[in-house]
Amino acid sequence: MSHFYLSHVRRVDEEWVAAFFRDLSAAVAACTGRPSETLGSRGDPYTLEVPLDSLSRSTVLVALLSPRYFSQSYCVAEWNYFQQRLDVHWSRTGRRADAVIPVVWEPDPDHPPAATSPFPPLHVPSQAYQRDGVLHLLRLKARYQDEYNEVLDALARRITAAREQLPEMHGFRTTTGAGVRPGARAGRRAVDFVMASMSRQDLPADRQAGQFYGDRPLDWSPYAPEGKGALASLVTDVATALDLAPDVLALDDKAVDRVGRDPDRLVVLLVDAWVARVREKQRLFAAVDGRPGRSTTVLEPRSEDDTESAARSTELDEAVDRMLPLLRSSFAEYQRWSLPDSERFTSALRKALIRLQNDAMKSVEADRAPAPTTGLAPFPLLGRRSS
Amino acid sequence: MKFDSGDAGTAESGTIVTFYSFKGGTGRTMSLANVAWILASNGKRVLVMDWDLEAPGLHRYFTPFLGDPDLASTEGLIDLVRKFELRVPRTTDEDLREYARVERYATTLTTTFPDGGYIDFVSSGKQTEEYSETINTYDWRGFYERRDGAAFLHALREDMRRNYDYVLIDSRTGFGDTSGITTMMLPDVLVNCFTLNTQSVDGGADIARDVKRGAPHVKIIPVPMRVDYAEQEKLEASRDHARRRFQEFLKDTPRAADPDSYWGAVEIPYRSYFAYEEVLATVADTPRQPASLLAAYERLTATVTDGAITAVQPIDEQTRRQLLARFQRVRMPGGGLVPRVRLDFALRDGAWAEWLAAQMQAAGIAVTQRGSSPSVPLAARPAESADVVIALLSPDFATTPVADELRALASAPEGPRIIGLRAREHTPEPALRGLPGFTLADLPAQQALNQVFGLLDLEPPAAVATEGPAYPGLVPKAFNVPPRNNVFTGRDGYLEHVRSELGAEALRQDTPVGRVVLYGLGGIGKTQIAQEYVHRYGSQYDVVHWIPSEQPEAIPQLLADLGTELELPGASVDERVQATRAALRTGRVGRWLLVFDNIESQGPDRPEASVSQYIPDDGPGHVIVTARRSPIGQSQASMEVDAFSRSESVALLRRRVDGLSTSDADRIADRLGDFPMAMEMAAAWLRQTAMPLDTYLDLVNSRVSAVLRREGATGDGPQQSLTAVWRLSVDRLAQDRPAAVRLLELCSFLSPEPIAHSLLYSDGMRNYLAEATGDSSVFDPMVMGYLIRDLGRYALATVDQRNRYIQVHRLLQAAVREWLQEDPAREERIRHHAHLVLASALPSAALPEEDTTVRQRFAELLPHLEPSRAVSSTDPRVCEWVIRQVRNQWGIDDHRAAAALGRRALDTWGESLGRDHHLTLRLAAQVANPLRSLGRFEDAYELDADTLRRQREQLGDAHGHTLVTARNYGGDLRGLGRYQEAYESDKGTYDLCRTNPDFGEEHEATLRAANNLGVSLNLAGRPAEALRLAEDTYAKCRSALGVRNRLTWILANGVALDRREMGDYQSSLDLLTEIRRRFAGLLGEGADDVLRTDASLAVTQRRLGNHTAAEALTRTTMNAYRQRYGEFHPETMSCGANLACDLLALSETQPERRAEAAELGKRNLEVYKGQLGADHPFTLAAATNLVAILRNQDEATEALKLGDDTLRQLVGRLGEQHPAAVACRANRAGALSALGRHREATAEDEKVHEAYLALYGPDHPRVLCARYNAALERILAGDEEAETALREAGEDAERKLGPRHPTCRAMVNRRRIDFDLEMPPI
Repeated sequence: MSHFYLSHVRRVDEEWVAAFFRDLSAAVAACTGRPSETLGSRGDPYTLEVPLDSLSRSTVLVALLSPRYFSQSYCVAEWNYFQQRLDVHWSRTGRRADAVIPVVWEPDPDHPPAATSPFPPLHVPSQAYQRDGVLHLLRLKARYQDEYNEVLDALARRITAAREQLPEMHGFRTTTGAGVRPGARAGRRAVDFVMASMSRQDLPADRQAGQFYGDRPLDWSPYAPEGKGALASLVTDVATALDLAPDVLALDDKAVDRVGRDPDRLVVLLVDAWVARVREKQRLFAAVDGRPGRSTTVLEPRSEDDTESAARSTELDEAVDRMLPLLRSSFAEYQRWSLPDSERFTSALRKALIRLQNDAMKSVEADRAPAPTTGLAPFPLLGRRSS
Repeated sequence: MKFDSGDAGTAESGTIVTFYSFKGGTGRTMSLANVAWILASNGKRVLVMDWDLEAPGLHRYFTPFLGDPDLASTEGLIDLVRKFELRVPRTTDEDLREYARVERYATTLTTTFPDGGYIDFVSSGKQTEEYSETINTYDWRGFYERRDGAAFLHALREDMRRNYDYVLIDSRTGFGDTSGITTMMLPDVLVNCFTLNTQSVDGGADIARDVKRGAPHVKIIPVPMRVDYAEQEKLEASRDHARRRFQEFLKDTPRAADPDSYWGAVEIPYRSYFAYEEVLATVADTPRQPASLLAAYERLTATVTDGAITAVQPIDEQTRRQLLARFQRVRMPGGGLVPRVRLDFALRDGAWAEWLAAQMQAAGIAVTQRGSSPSVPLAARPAESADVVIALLSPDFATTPVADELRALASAPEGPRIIGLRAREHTPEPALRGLPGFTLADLPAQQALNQVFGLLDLEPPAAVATEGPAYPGLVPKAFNVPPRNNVFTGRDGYLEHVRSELGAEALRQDTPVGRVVLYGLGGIGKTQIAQEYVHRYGSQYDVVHWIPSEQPEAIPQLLADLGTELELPGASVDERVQATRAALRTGRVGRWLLVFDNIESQGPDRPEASVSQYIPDDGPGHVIVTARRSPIGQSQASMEVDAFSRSESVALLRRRVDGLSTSDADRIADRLGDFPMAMEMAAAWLRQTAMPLDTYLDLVNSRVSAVLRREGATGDGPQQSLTAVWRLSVDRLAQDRPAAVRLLELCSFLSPEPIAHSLLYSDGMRNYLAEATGDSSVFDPMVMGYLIRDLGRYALATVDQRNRYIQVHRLLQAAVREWLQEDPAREERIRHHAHLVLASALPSAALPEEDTTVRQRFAELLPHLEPSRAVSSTDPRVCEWVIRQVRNQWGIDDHRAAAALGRRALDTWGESLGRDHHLTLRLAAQVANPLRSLGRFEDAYELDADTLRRQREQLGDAHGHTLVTARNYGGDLRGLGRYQEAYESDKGTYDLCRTNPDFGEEHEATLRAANNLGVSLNLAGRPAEALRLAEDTYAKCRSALGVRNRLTWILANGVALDRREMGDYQSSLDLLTEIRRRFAGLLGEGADDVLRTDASLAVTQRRLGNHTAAEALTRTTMNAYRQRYGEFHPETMSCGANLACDLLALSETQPERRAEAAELGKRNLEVYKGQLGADHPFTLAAATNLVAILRNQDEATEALKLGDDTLRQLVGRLGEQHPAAVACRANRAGALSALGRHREATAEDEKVHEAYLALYGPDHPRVLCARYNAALERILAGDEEAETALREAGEDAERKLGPRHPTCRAMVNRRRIDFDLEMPPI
């Protein structure tokens, strides 16, 4: 019995993915005669969690490849999970199973599926599919009904036809540290997340809530106690979903040197207010604080579950005021400081990154060929002749 | 600067029309949407685009036709522009066109237009939380003037005109950022919308003048909108003003020559209907009504298209109404025509009624529920009026008062519509048979819902509502309960009470577990109520597990069974109980219900205390306990179960006995005190005999007096009545069919749990019955069937035909045993016969032990072992059963239970039979097995050594049983790491087997002994001999026992291991793949043998250099072992050792894995030390591996120190030439090398090479590696002449392993090769 798992970038085009999932389930049901609600599963679109239970019960992974797919931590985890299951299966039997089906959701001109994956991509004669991917066919379904059905049929056939089925593997667990790694895409604008945090060992005596920290400063996880590195992973996923190429650094001399060299480099400072209390860090903070406003922004997570921070809030606020006078005054809005939960942090982060992108565009004086027809065209503006 | 229209006017290009208004609220967007529809209905390809970024609203007119009506998942204009901006590196012309493909951001409306027309919609942008940030901070001017924006927009304009006939742009009002682009740069035509007030007209006219100057080619069409004819006088003045202001632009319009006709044509009237709803006039208005809004839009379209399109292509009225309904459905979910529904049902089908009601209510339907049952009289008030009555038909429904009303309703000429849904598969009575409906059971939820809504003439909801009760058609993933009593009657008050008590605790992880205790007299029906509950409401849980709890010591096993079913970890019952408890607490297995049936009072009157240790305090679960006595304390709800109500008694009797009058039923109930079990007995009696009721009641009376006399009791309680009716039934049956009574007597010594048919129909049982009754007809299976049937008919046993067992109530068992005690000798005799019957049901010893029917038979016998007190018997046949039962428990990996049962029997037999008795000795051999499997080698060794000594004395060395123990003894020695002794012992055993005239070379015992000897040879460091013996044994077994025998493949596993040891990796892999396939086919994927093969496969894959695959498989196997047997099982530990080696191998190319390897390597050493002791060879092997890992971690000093210690111990324990000692020497040399002590390393490596050469011959990879290492060290020590030796060693290795083997790549990089050790199965 084949059961497919739909692996896809979440939250970006949720309605369309949901529609495709329904259609695919129905197509597989038509092939197998089994009720469609039992044939497939996918991750919760509003979390970054990897549903290991569903994955382990699935025999086929349908990966909706888009330019962002391999930059999302959970997509890569899902992909690796299957890759490793296939490794185990091969290791046991010496046989390969057709258990991963790459589907072009949105084409990635830089990475055609045949080049990126060891698995044969879905083959459909449709020109429209090959050029524009499934999402395009789905959105224009009223016009591309036949091509769309062709994709569904081919996919359902391949899901159900898999002769060598990947068995459910008792005891199988995915290994972190092996397989494909989430990668930034070439040709994206880089953004540096500079994390002003501490390792658990370096916490000052009066900071007791060790559960928010790990062995390295980058393990800081203000919203998920014991969730080592959850914040770094979250900001990476969000930034890549917005077509940026993120890098997460700890606030140290190396980082300051790097972000100081290029004033146009996009920088997001992530501050743990407890670190702002450490006087020795003043120089490092000042280096980021003094960067140009157009390419620098800041976010300060302060979980509402962290009672210790709540109890010392005045003191922490003063510390941040002292360490980051410029950023503090340019981003006075509440959306940047004392972000109480992961949801509001994410929302603030998305806005901050959009704004950073927009501001960064303004500052780019393009070195490019002049526009072909208009030359230096003045911006058409209504009303300047009326006044 | 003018804004050129480019190639405007060519026939192939489309027209871009911008709809602009200076002020908002003109109806501009609505006009655009309608014009688009009219164009598409004429076969045009239309693109509509929302450029009103600050207040996008165009999508609202198309909501029913959009796949993503909220636009939260669909990119639009701002995303199109930004994506172009964000691209790096910047691009050439060609790519500009690719980025400007507007279709990539379009959604086609999901409706069909004639002649290939369609509307593509492009939103202003994805409507996410950050949308406003996106547009507010976007720099349009910079984009246009400095960042290729102008060129890009031109490309966009070209793309639109190339691909569409008409492009309609909804523009921002006023002087927005983009209004210049939309009014001057992009369009061919500008529809300038205004309302007839001065501000709006003047603003619009100023803009028109701007556009005319900036982009003279743009045709301007002024359009007055929202023209309200209510105020004629003011209207005329405004019209005049507008005409004056726009006069100069009319020359662009087709009717320039006739301004009056122009203004008359384009005016859009105000219609209040459309003012509140976003609905298209093309759908809402009937065509060809000149005064309609639709007609006005048609005239506008004609103007915009220069008269090319003048009217919407009419569609048929039905389609139009359907389209309109799509708008309206969006507006008013549910609509106004939903019927009022009444649900009539039997309370037994309550779960279905609740679900259906919840689903209909979620869809906005008003539902009244009327549940009914014999124990709950129908409310007297008249039923509320309903449009539709849904009746849940079932056998129970027919017995309820509400059914009477329904029958009347069905035959009435008028009244509500009736739908008859069948809750279970059955044929309804004739009066209700013809109702429309279907059978609910077995349908998927969505399908059931679709059909119900279909019957109600309603559109079904898109999805099943998830709030409220779960779908009753789903069987929980674990559902282990006795079958449902089809004629269960009444008790609805109790059931409702249980439900509400349990329901007080929500099924969540953080809530206390809801508990209810049902207590009351035996036979009062507690178990029946609990059973009905699990069937009635079981679908609300994910796991339902029924635990017969009379034998408290059996509870752990039954809970562990649940753990096994849920695939929870744990080797022993205890571990699985803990795992189950944890899983229940955390909700990992979902919502659950446990029933502890018939808990005997433990300790100080707290029946629930014995349960509490097994179930968590919190978690998403409920617990029902049944007990004789009430619990002490107020911590949980308890309810005393009392006798039936009279109406329940009457309903039960009349349901069971055809034609029984209500008054007769009342008399019986009165006499028997409404006692449920007595009611069952009486009903059975009356059904079975034709005895007049009066006679029966007289008989009962006289029996009751007799019972009272005998017990010396006074009064006349229900227990006495019960005993009386039993006695009556048994006596009556004794006359008709004495053999049935003998059967009942014998069953009274078995467990009150199910007694399998296999046991009832066994030869032993029939022999006994024939002998006891002198009636040989019982040999006829049909007669046996009659006996069972008769017990059922008199209600003396519950007969389950489907699962093929009977069950005798524990009270009746006790009563029967009490009667028998009147003659103690007879009682003993029958108990002994019960033992013999059980013993004779043992599966044939000729069948393979792992055969499923064999396993099944032992599982059926086990529950009777304790209640029958079989361990106390000294009959050799019964002892044989106990021995084999112990062996079976071991065989099914229930090691702890096997050891416990065996120990108990061993103690008893030690007393009764004596320690030297041959049966005691055989049992002892079987008890040592589970001890060894648990890793308790010392205990197993002591027991086996003692047994072996006694057996040798009693039976001699060569006796079959002695040899079995001797084989096990060898295993104990291997487990203790005493390899040389093990070898000697195994050699002796093997020789004795071969020469034993009963066995010979190809006997299974000899083959097993040979296998053991092979293992010992290998462990003792003689791999070549081991391989020869293993190949030989495997070949013999394959031909003697065949390829479908498990032993063949166990032996093959030995061969594969030895081939690997001897360096023949590929043929090891080939054989292992075959073994795995065979084992999986013979025993199933989950079998231990498969797992063991996987562990071996992973090692061979590592040796072949497939490190990633090896790691994945080792990890999986280790996790499976860990889940099954826990952290410290020998195989789990062995996998841990292998994983460290895999990581060490992987870190050659992935340095980031080093830390993990080191962590695991250190942990392994600790675990082995803790489990097997510091000087066990496996512990030393783990240390040897760690030496290599530490060296690889640049901790050479540490590595050398550990290497020194380990090598000394290994040499002491196993000798210098043992492969483990040689590997340790090599790894230690690695540490020397890392410290720069190359000369010492060279000397050691040469020793290693020599030793390996002696062990494996010249061609073994380890030999080649050792040669290479030695040459490398010589070079590092400055001996340049060694280059040749190094090159040759490298070439030889490459020939042997292939150039792509990681070891060869390491050699190319001049890195040392380490040697790892595996811990083979012992």
